Amino acid sequence: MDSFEENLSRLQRKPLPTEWKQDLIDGAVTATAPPEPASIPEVSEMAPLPVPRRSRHLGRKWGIGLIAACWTAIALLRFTMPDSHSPEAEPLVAGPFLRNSLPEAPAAFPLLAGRTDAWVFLDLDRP
Amino acid sequence: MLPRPELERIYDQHAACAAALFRRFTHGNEADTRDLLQDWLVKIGGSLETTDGITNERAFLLRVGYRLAVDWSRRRQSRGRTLNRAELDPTQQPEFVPQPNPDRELIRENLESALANLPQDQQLVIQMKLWDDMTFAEIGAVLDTSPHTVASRYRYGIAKLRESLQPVYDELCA
Repeated sequence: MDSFEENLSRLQRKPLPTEWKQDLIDGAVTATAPPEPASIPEVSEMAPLPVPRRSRHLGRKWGIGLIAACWTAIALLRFTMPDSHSPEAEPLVAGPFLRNSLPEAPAAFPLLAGRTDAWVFLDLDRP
Repeated sequence: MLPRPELERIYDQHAACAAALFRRFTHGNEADTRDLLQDWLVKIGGSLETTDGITNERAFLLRVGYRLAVDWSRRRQSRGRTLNRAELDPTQQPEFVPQPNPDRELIRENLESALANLPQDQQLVIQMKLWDDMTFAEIGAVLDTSPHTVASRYRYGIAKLRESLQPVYDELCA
């Protein structure tokens, strides 16, 4: 440190205003103080506990009943309808999508006229 | 939280240094400096249980203050309320005690304006080195910078101060 720096370092900083100390420390102590525990109210002062609404209770029961009724209806329909997979049942769909029943290409597609192999891409049953 | 007597001790020993650091950010505005001092005390009082385990108390506390001031400055910049050095607060008080000797008083006046015109990092290093008697390593710990960088900033800053004050200084020392 040369003489120039020493000369500068001899200058004294102005002290902080004296009234700052009390205010700032009061502020810091107040801001950092832990919150006071909330007082427990007397029983008589407490608000009554909310009573569960009856309609909500009933709604849940009705919902379960509705689901059960739906399942029952589906089961009844299932067992009363004829089985479409049984040999005596008539096929529901008979058309170009079934294997071994490919028709010829319609006249609208002259390039495919007379060919049945071009329809293979429609054969959804083919592996 | 720190007990009140401990906060008072910290205030007595370090608040002047912290306030000088904050003034570098607030451009001498007393109200902003006071607000930052309040935030600094709240931060210290709320986050520390004791100061026993701290090896270098001044460097630690000034580091807390430096980070607070950087955050404050960024918030202010984001709100577009940056103060230029040219438009300093007209109510600001001198940072150094007025000198009875007119020659030294002239140096003091010139020093305050020359210091305010330095880049902020050089101002911080010079004030901590010259008026807080801190080492380059301690200043580096406060500013999160290596001691070599701090020493370099100090040299550049002193060179600029010397250049600014040279006419007055030469005249008085001649």
